[in-house]
Amino acid sequence: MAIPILILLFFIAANIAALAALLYNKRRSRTDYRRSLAIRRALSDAVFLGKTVDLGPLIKRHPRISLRLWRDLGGALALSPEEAEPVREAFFQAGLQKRLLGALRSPFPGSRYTAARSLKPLVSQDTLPNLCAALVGEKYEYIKLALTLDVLSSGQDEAFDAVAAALSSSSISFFRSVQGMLSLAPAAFVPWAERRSGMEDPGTKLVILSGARSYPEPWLKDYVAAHLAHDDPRVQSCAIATAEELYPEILADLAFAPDADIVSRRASVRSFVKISFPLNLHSLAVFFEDPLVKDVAVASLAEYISRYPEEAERVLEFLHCLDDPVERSAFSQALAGRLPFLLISSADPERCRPVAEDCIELGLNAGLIALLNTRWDPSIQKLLLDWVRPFTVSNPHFRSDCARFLNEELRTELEIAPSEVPKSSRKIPLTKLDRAALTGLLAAVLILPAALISAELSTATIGKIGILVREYVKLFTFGFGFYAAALNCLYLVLILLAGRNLRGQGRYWSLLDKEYLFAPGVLPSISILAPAYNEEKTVVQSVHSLLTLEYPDYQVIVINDGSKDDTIGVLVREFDLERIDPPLHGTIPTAPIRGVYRSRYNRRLLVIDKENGGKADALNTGINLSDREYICSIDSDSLIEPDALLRMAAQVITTDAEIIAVGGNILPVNGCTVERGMLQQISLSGNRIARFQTIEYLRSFIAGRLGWAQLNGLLIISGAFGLFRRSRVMEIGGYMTGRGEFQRDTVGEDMELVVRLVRRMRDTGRKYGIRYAATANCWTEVPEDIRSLYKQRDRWHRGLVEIITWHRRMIGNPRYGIAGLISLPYFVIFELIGPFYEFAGYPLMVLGFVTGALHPQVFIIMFSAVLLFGLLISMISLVLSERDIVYFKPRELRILIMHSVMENFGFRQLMGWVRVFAFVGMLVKNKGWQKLERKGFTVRAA
Amino acid sequence: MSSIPELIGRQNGRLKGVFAPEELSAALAETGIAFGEDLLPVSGFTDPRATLDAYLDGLMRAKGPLWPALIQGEVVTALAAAGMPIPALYRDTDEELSRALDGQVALGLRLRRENLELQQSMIEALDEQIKDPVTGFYNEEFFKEYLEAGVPQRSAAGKVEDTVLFIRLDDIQRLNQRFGAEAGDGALKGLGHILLNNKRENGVFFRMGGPLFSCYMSGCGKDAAYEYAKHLQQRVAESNEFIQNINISAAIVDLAEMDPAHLARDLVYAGVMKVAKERIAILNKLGPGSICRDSEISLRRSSGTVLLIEENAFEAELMRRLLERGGFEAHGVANGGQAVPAADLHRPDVIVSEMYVSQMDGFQIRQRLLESQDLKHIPFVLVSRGKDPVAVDKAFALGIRHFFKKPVMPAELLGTIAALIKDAASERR
Repeated sequence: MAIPILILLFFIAANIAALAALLYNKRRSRTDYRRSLAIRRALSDAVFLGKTVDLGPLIKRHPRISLRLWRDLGGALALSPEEAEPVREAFFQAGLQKRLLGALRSPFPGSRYTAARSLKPLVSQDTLPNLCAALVGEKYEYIKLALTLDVLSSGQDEAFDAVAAALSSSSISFFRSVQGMLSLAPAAFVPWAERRSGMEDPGTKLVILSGARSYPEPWLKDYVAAHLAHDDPRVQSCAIATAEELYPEILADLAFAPDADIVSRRASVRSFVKISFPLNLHSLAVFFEDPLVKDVAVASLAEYISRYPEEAERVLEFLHCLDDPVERSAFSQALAGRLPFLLISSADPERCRPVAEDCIELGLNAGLIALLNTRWDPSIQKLLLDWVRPFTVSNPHFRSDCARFLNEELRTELEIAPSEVPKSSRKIPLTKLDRAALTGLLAAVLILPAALISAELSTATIGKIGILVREYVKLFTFGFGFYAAALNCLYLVLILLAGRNLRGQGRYWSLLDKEYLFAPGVLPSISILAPAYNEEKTVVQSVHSLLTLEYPDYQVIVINDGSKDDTIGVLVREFDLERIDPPLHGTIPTAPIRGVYRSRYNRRLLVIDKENGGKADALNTGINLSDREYICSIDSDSLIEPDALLRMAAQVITTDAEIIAVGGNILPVNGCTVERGMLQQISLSGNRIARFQTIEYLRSFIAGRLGWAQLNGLLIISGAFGLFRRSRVMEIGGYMTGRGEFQRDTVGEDMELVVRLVRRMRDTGRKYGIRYAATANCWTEVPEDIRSLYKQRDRWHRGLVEIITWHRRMIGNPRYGIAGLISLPYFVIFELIGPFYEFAGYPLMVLGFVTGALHPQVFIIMFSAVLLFGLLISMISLVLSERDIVYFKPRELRILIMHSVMENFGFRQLMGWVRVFAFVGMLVKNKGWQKLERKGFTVRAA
Repeated sequence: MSSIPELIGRQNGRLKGVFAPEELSAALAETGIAFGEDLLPVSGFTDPRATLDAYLDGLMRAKGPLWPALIQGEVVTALAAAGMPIPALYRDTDEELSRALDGQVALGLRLRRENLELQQSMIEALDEQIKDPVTGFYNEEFFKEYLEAGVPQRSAAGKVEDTVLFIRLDDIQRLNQRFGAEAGDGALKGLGHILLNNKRENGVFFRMGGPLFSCYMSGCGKDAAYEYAKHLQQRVAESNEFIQNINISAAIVDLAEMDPAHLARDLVYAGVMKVAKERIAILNKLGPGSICRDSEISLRRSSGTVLLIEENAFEAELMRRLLERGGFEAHGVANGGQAVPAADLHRPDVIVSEMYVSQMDGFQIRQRLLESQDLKHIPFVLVSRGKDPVAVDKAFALGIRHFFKKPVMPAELLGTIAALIKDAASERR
């Protein structure tokens, strides 16, 4: 009896210890707060009153915090050297810089990075040589970047020299970042550049050419011009970029030079159009014959027309004078976006006919069909129909597009039969073969233990069915106990990893002050993609809140996915949208776009209006439009904390590995106060089901995702808030849709994307990282009644089954690393098959105890292993999640702890059963996507 | 004309607004008349005239000459209207009273000599005039007369040991904002109730303008007043009469600390109020629930008020110190939700805001301010790290002309604020 009791006591003690840790955390954060308060006061006293008596001892006792706060102070106030001197002196007296300079030579990159970031406020004549040496010798580029900013802040010659040396051997992305940083080069740049203008090494040239962007000088112009045809491609592209921005005229001259290379020709065509008014159309037409620059010429012309709309008429006239069909179609392409304007702006719409016809020839059907679908003046409508009628016969592609997207009325008029392809093309996700395989797997898994047990017992107990059942129950519950213990042990390991991950994230985040993050060139640019479907009531608030995010370089792309209500109308009115014809950067097939708009109210906002195609399709459209480094997919009804993007992107810039995806932390918004689309107060929901989910989310994000991320085996990034590298997403053809190369839809498009990304990266043998930002919070609504919760979980599980079936080749395949060897097998064992054991396990355990089949000792062990262990995991998750940021008040914390006990009696079992039913349901029939019913946020009475 | 018991009852009703219930019943017990629940005399002397005389005598003995004098006007008028003789107290002390309290009493005496009907309505009007409609306390007008009547006389008699305690309901702006204007009145009424229930014998309450009450405490020094203020704060904190937790803060002005020359009749009110205003302004800095008993943290001459909207606590503190060093009075809020109410409360000369603040960002705050007729003219300065072409565009669209990138140069920020305040001043002129 002693052992089971010991086990029980052990788990109870562990739970109590976790509770104590939770309380200790609160206390510790209070002491930390008081300490930083004292240092803050001492620092501001020193700055404002020149009183440094208190500061010295504080710096000695808490050097790290003091330095961090001093850095923050420097980020808020630009102090004169005299004001800053006493404090700087105090830090020097504490000997801090010596220790940090030593750390710069540490073999551990983490320590070097810490030192590089910490030394920023201590840059001086004495420390500069060491920093420069470290910059030149550093291997990792994210550390080099931190050092570059450090040395540049000194504005000394040797700093520029060191940056030049670092640039000589570096990747293109590092060069881009440095280019950004040099746009704020100190004034000392010009004399330095003049002295170094004769140097031949590419690094120096790159620094001069980048810095020249912010210092227009006659001799720098000549310098740029001289390097436009440089042999080193990096130097050349840098010169071209600077010239295009500052001196387009010297590039424009190159446009007609026949022997110029392709890069400079493309840039020079752009520059030529940029500086000309009125544009010489005859000269431009020449470019249309060269396939290498044709696209640039067309895009430049389209931009020219949207800049000077009055010129559209002249371009159209010119088009009529052309004979060459290639040139004509190019002009038509540039005019396509202006077609509606041209149609109504004059009494003679007939003149637009060639443009419309060329559009069809070029395959620009979407715009034309959208134009037809708009309610026009009947005479224009008729005219348009007459123009396109011949093509419905001659052009099968146009015909099929009409069949799918044209209004019914017009379609009948053109005598086109409706297409059989449904608009939202959810095809059969699993083939019959897939389903048969899954059934086989399930049968094997379920029958195998029974068969084994039966085989063992058969000889002894033939005929005694009672004993057989009894033994069966006993063995099964043992098996179940081992299963639960194994699962919880795995969780425990993951939690330990998560703790490590969290500590690292906390440390890096404290190293990244806002001034650094906002320095140009440090953070990657981001497009936020917000699909919206029938959200006219909430979309304005959501977009307003997205436009207030704290991030230096981002844009918001709202994608109206063919809403049936007036979503696009409210957006147009609220944000003063104007139609633009932007170049699309991607080629993922999507439902046709009706129009792209930019807001005059806030240039960060773009809106795409498109035909309905589902969430994944909408996201793909956004990916096509975006030209930023990363895309961030969000649900348009979830709330993102203002600094969440910064915290996510911090994951990208604190490593040299290519980060292809970063997940955000999802928390239930139920119960919180939300006003004007912004979170006002965090509180726990009063609804029991929402509270259970709060615990569940905390646990799965801490114990699940953070741990997996530490192993680089994270495969689930929620579609509600995830950051992805755009080039990689493009490479794999975007989200899976019925239109893409895969010809099928999934309900788990977010996870599917990650799995496919991993697969591609591994297949092509590239290194990658998938991270999870534990403090980048996104608040989303969770279901508050069992029915919607059931539907949601059913959908999630079906998504999981689909993905695992499609990517089954990856399971257990060492080629796919951790993802193949650990993550996916984990999903198969514990998420696909496990629920079946749980389905039977819990009832049998109770049954066994009640009927006496299970010895009380065994029951106690099992109880500890299953329930108390599970509780422990929840508690530790709570401890970790409350470590740095306090979300919940003590009373709410008590409620949460209570619920984490209660959820073991019913809720968790229920969630397991949903999976069983979902799995079985999938084998029987395929279901469509079911939209979660949403309640809308609690709006506090004004 | 009503009977004498009714007249007494009515006077008791008036006094109820000034005295605490126990205090009133103690005072009434002195009169030797028994009173019922509704403060109407139930038994007394056989002759109603004797009852009235005893009543007035009792009040005089218990509370000094002020209170009989306070009700004198109405009593005299009523009696005169009924053709009854003037009570002995008023006959005998006419002269003494008028010397002591010439403001109030002289008015009553003068009135007696004039047309009775007119007197009647005028007295009622007077009562209206000196009573605050919300709390039923005597108002600031009467407070002024009270000071002017009482203090110079005491000062002449020797050293004045009286103290005036100012009590302010801190959160009224927020209450009104959240629950509507009645909530503020309700809270004031509730506070009035608590004050009365905790009234000391030597104290008289007045309702000043806005969320401010005053208490004249005779024969009481600063320390005692401080203790009393603490006591009141605690009572308010314990009470559950309010729609949400409220705070009161207190400013104490000891008459003994004032220059005796300033205790003259025409100077005393202005003098007390000057010191009081200074200390109330300090309360704003000390935050809700504070007590200011002296102006040691004396206010420097402020060259303007600045509202600072900044979420980061450290940066807010730095900015505040910077502004104060520049000679400005700075009020800070930490999120967008509080910004507009704070602007409404403090009416700053300039608003300095970060772009990134929670609940409402800098631009949304600006938009809200533009919607308000009173607040849209306050110059708005943005200070943010996120200054980029897009943000600057938006700022200009909202009429924000000054946008600084952090780290901000102190001299630049202070100079801009000073210039903005100067421009506004010259515009007004």
